[in-house]
Amino acid sequence: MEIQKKLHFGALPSYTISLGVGIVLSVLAFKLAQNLPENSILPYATGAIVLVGLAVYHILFTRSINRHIEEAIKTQQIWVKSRQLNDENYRRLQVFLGSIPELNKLLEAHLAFINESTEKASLAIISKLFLMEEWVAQILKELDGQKLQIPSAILSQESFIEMRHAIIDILSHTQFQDISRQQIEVVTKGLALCAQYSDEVAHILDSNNPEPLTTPNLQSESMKALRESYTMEAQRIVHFNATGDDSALDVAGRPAIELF
Amino acid sequence: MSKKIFLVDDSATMLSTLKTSLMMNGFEVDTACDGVDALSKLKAGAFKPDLIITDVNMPNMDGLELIKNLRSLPAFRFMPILIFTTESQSAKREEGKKLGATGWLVKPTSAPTLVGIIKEVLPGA
Repeated sequence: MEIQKKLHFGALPSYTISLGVGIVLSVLAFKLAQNLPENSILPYATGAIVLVGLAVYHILFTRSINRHIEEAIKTQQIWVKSRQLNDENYRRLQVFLGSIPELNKLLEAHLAFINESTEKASLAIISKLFLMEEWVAQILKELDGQKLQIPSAILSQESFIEMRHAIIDILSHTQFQDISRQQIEVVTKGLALCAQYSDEVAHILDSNNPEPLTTPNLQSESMKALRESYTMEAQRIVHFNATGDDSALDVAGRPAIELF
Repeated sequence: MSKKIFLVDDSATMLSTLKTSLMMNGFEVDTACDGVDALSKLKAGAFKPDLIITDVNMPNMDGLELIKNLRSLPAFRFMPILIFTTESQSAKREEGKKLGATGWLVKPTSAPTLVGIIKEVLPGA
């Protein structure tokens, strides 16, 4: 039960933050639209829509992964507790074993999709930013040549640079995408270990061979390390700030930034 | 003269946003997608960085293995190397410290904070 709670908790802040980043970017796009020509806002608006879309997709996908993990853990707990498999548990074990390769393929496909989509959106925004900088410089030069002045609050090289910094700062939040990606990698590793363990158990049960298990079980250090990796530091801190429960925090309480 | 930073991360998105962010703050930046790529580019010597920033979890060669390899080369023995990662376990941090990392930064970190740390590690940057 404790494991399931951690997995649920681990998923929540990540997609909440992804959604938050998408919304912030959308708001920024609308704010920019008030000061800039309509066509120049298109890349930001497109990026915002893509990020919001990714966030929603992430919510649905993470829930789906968690359901599979809970089912897998439930199955494993049943036969660890009972120490013997009745027909129903054996059937569940077989279904679980059979679903792992497919589940891993699904995870890898989604992982590739998340990577490609986020990369495409952020690269598009960055490249448009540079194009826009040139465009602003050219407009200002032409206006200067015609001895025309526009209020710097509306358009100036400085205000553009300031805006560019703000956008890049928002884009740096794609670091959360990196966290999600690594969480999926951890899930894939965990499932592979589950499958290896379950295969061995099934083999021993089928052959009535009393040989001890060689694969680490789900209470082992390997699995513990995987569980710890699944819930990233950023999410532990969010959990701690919201609940005051420090059990998930790094025991040494080390800061996020540490110079040795 | 602007300081040179070498970024190592297997996420193209991370590399592109970090690179843009650092370039806008006046740094010269080159990148590599994993430890093997980094080692090969750094050994070739076309880009001589003042600082290396590396992720930990990467395919082919991870960040800790990269540091171990770099510290065995005279040219990189004393070069500052920051680890920038989602990994936050104490054991991993201790391993990084033991291998000669200069510092450990847990993602996510905002661009201004990262630039502040770089300036602390590279006085005069």
